[in-house]
Amino acid sequence: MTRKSRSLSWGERATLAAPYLWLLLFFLAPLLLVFKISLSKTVIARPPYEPTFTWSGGWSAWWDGAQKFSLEAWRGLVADPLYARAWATSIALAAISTLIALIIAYPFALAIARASARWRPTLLGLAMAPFWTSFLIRVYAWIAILKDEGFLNHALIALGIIKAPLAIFATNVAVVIGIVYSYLPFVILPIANALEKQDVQLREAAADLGADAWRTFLHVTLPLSLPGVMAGALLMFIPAVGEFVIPDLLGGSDTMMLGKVMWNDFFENRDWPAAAAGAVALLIVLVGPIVYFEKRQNRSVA
Amino acid sequence: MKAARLGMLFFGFAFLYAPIALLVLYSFNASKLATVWAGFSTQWYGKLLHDEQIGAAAWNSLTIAFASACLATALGLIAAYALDRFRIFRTRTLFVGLIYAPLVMPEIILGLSLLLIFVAVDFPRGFWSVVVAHATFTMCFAAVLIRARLGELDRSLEEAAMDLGAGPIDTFFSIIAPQVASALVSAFVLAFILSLDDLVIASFTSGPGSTTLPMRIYSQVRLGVTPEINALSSLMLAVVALGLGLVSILRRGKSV
Amino acid sequence: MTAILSFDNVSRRFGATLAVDRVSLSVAPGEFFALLGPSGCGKTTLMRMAAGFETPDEGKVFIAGEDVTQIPAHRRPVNMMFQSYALFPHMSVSENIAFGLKRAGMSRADIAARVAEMARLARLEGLEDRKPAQLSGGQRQRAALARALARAPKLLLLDEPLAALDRKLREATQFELMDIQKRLGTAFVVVTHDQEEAMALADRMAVMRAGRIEQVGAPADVYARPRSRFVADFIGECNLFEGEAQGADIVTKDGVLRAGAPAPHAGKASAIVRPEKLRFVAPQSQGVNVLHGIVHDAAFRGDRSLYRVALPSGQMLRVARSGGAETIGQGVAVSVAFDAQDCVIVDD
Repeated sequence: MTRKSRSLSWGERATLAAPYLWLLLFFLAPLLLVFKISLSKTVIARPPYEPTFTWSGGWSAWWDGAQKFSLEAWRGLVADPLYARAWATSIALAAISTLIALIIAYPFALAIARASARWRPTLLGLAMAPFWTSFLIRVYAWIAILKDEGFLNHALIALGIIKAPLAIFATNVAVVIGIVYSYLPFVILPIANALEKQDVQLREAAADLGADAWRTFLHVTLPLSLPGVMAGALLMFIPAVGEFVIPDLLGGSDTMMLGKVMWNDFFENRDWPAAAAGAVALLIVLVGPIVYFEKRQNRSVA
Repeated sequence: MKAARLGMLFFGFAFLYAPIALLVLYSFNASKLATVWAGFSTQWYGKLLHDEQIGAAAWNSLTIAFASACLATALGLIAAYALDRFRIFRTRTLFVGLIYAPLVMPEIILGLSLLLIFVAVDFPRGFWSVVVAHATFTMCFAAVLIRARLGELDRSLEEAAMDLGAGPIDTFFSIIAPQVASALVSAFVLAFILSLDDLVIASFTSGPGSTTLPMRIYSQVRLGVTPEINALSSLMLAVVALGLGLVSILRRGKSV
Repeated sequence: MTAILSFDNVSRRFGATLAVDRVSLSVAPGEFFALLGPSGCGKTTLMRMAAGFETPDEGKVFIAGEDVTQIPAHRRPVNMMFQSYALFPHMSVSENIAFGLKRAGMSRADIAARVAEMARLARLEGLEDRKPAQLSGGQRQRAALARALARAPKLLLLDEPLAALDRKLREATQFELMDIQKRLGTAFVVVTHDQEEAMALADRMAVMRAGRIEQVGAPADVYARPRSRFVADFIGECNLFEGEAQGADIVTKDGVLRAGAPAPHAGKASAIVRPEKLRFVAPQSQGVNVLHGIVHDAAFRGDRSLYRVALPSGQMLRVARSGGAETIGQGVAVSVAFDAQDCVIVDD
């Protein structure tokens, strides 16, 4: 049975309408609106930007409004050195964290994938479980560990490894630890899935043809698992760039990541156009990775 | 080889669970000091019970989670069914994109954009705005989960039902529904958990009366680590663990 | 007598491939009919058109004389036994059997009686409350059969009914199927890729290839008088001699061979002889349809041995010889003969 590209029946259209319209209205339309507001000016009003459009004013009011569009927020985005630093910090911290997470997740996923079939689902479930718990709570848990008088420093001093407490809390190091910890399950799942799917006989064939364990890994296991590695890296990197909670709670006052800058613009400076421009810029940067991710998903869906 | 694997598993799970274990352990600490053990006590849980603000936030969170999970499961089921069963339609790629993009989109963009649309159309911010916001991103998780289950179904079962005289709607309820029931419950529980845990999107879209538990925790966490927050966090972890336990029983050991 | 099932010039296209190509076919009431062919030949699509899971792009499908081309599956008076059995995993055996009866609007008491009757027929007594997962392969097969027969259809479609069973069980089940079919008088149409199965079960069979029917007939006829090289090759083993036909004779590289009937057309053709129709004769014998060669090797098959004899042209001749006789060693020069009536000439 092939599915041909024909138009759907009315019954099918009615069925599809609910989720489709919902996502258009509450996901796509808001994104377009963010773009529009990024072209607005900040004013002291409710809402705190102009132009705003109403149905009552007629065409002339629309035209007047349209002329008030401005690139002010975008100019700020380019000119303000704060933004430049936030960009650099966000991408750097997300990239470093993703790399570290991959280094931890790969052997972990491999150990899970090679466990006996009876234990595998349980192990994978346990590795994924933290993902479903609150980000906030997990990040909060690290405050008590990393603080100057926290568990880590207590332990290290008690063991005689260090004399004075390490100042990790409120630094970029703490942020990286937090990101790695929070997103680790995201990376483990696709890698473990990719490794699990591999046919054992491939490795046996490699061994039979004279490859030692290391070569088998390097030339068979690793290349075949790269799609999983890529999916894991994207799944972590994309949201990590826009992360807010982790830099806010674990970072210092000088840790400026985009999510935090946008949050401050929005809630503290009440500069909605600036926050919107930040969001649009972030989307533009992430659109490449997101589209790549979707293409992969699409392939597996279609 | 085997020792290395076991070592890796031990290290990995220790890294994932030690921070959570410490948090739960110190929620039973008698001392007010967050990192110094001074004996076992349940006093902080007692204190929570009498905190009216926390109680109100908890009620908000649970009702929002329930309502948004109901919506997300229903919408997710329809979306999954359409993706799995309808022949390729012209805007299918867009639809698939709309389902998958929210899974990776930074929360701050989702939250900000939803708030802006609520302001633009004058949708009052409060209980329902958070419900709509949460349903929007959790329905995508639900759709992916349910679609995976639909994809596993043996189509010949549906054909057999038709062959034996059952019409399309009869077939849906007598054959398809019982087989995806466990996936529906899983999707509901996971949507519930995601909603319960969310801070960023709720912060943008909630109104004065609809402060959620994570928002309450966040405002207190900024002031430092306290045993009350440890106790509250432990309770939330317990709820999530319960939900995950239920899901894993339903899915009989398949990973979530 | 109206045919219970007939296809009138039906075609079905999937993308660029023509799965069924202008097929016309009739099945008589009470007949055991087999659709035989290699995978991808369109036999399953043809059966699914009878069940109502596929609609022909062209042509019509009739059941008991009624045009059902546009009738959906759940309103057709036929039932089907699926290759995977498609037993509902969340229902017990009796619930599975009762599924179709409930949809037919029968009373509760009638359903119970009919379920018990079907369970007896399919030897499932005592297993009624089990779920499909708790049944053995053979029991599942019988449960699927009981469910499909419960509504007493005039026509039952069976998609590879024995493919999931192991070899021993398959043979026993073959006889069981034939028994049930004779007892109920229901027309059975079975789809299979296994020629032995088709020949064992069917009163008549159709051999399909690339969406078209190559030959229809009783198994013994089709076997003895294949109408094409494909049919000859697909059903049983055969020796093929290419050459030029002249009446009932055909000139090949290994001499002139004589067939039982004249070739359909003069010119390029092939002569077909089954290995068991060949027999060893005294060396250097002369006469019509005698070939000389050297034994290349022999494969012992228990009830018989299969020899390969190299002919001067280089062709390997396959000769079956029933068991018991002493073996002929490799490299021995032999002569082989067959009767003209056992040789068929087909077009290339």
